[in-house]
Amino acid sequence: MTSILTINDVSKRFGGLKALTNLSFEVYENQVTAVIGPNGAGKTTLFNLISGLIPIDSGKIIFNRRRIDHLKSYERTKLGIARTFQTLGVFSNMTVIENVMLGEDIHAETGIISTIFNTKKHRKEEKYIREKAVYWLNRMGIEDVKDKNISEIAFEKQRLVEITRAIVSNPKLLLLDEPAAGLNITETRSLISKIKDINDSGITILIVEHDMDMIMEISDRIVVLNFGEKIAEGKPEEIQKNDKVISIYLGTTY
Amino acid sequence: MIKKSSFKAVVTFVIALIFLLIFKNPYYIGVLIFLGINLLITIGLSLLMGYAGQISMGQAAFFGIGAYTSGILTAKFGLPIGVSFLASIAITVFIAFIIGIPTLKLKGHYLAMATLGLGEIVYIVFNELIPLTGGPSGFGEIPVIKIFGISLDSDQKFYIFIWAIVSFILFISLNIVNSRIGRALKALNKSEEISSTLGINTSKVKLGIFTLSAGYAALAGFLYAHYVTFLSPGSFSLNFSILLVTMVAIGGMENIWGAFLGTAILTLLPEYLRFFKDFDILIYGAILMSIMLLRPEGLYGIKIKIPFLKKTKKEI
Repeated sequence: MTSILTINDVSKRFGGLKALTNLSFEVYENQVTAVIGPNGAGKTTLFNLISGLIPIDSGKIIFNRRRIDHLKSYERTKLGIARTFQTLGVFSNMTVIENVMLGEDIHAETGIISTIFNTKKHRKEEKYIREKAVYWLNRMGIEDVKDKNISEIAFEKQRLVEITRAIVSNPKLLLLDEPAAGLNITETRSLISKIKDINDSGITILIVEHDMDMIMEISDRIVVLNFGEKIAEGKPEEIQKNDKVISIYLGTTY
Repeated sequence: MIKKSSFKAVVTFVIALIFLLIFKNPYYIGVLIFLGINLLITIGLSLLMGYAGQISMGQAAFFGIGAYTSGILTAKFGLPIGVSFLASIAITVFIAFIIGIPTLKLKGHYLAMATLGLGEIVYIVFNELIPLTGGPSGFGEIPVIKIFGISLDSDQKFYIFIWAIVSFILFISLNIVNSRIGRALKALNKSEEISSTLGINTSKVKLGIFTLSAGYAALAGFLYAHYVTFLSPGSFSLNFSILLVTMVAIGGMENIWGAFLGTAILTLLPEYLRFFKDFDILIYGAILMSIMLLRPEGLYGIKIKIPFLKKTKKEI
């Protein structure tokens, strides 16, 4: 198993609050790794540190054998880290397909002059980007809404658009921040099969989620956080039996 | 969504030419020339405000720098217009770049503050640098533009020239809006954080579009200087910057055609408000307030119901 992402002794404080303390774990290539833990455990902070929205205080983040913790957010995306947001990160001033095309734009090669004059090269590239967006929208089952404004479509579909936008950037690692939040059981079932499909296409996934059934079904490995510290790590069946994990979720004293 | 920006630009030019044939009155031609000049500035401002979500209160200053640079270089130093044109664009873009670098790295409306300051500084320089600018009374004898041996010495010739340029600027601006640059602008308008996780270098994109808008304003300034052939500071005050922002806001920020509409209204309206004299600013204020209250997204795209036709028709 090759490690694609290494979190090495990472700490983050917000003033007096310790959001993450000396956290270390690995994400292995082609696996689905889940991060679970109660509210306030530091899961979203972890995602923001990995994607570079906030700087780490100490430690190292290594992605694909390269240290990335000093890089800007957009540079990390270009290296192959894509993410979605817990509170939807789609853009309400654009159509569905434009939102998705935005994800592909980091690979665009047409220069600024060619873009400004809308040359043949630019039109060809736009066409290619659009076709690829349509392909993935189709694969995610939302091709029918492609020309609608994003705010006109159902919540579940908006979430799928956000995931599609992340995939079309060809990431090596996809960070999913609570993708099932706000979805009903049927929608969650359908999301699970889509996440499996994405994983099968060769994209490593790091997921934060509260839906335990979903986590147990899709994860290869689970990291459990509580108050910013790692309290357990292992395969789903190991985590299910772990006393510490059971106690923080069920409140048992030991 | 029709993508043919070249078609739209050509149609705009043809409509402008038709107006030239309809309005024989030189007064109307003059007004439409000023509409063209204002449009060059507001199209850039629309890219900056409506798409990138940044406000510049210094477009009148960039307009002024463009005008004064070319005016001074030709009238006082006798340089050819081609050289003064390049200098006026380059100097303006450079100043915008210098201001943009620190301010656009920050999130929020720091650009509005910085450009507000720039506007005041430039206005003072125009007034006080008397040997070059002639101070408050200004300076004249700026040559008219000669292109391919044709001197643009009549309003008709200049009108055709400026509307050709407006159409060209419209063409490239629509292309920008319909490209990945346009998508990036719209995205960072909504959220810089999310945009950066999509691989968009937000400060670079903001800086690019800001300098572009300054470049458009400089182009407008250059044309203004060689059309009016006389420059004084009054035309480049903060009031004009505010008026430009108002034009974009009332027309509809999130669309270039909105800027077009707003500019047309606020350029033509004053011609009918002359009898209010200095109170015209009150009318602008009232218009801006009512639009912000009743239709904050601007006038563009408003649907007016015509009772006998039963269909809803889109304005413009």
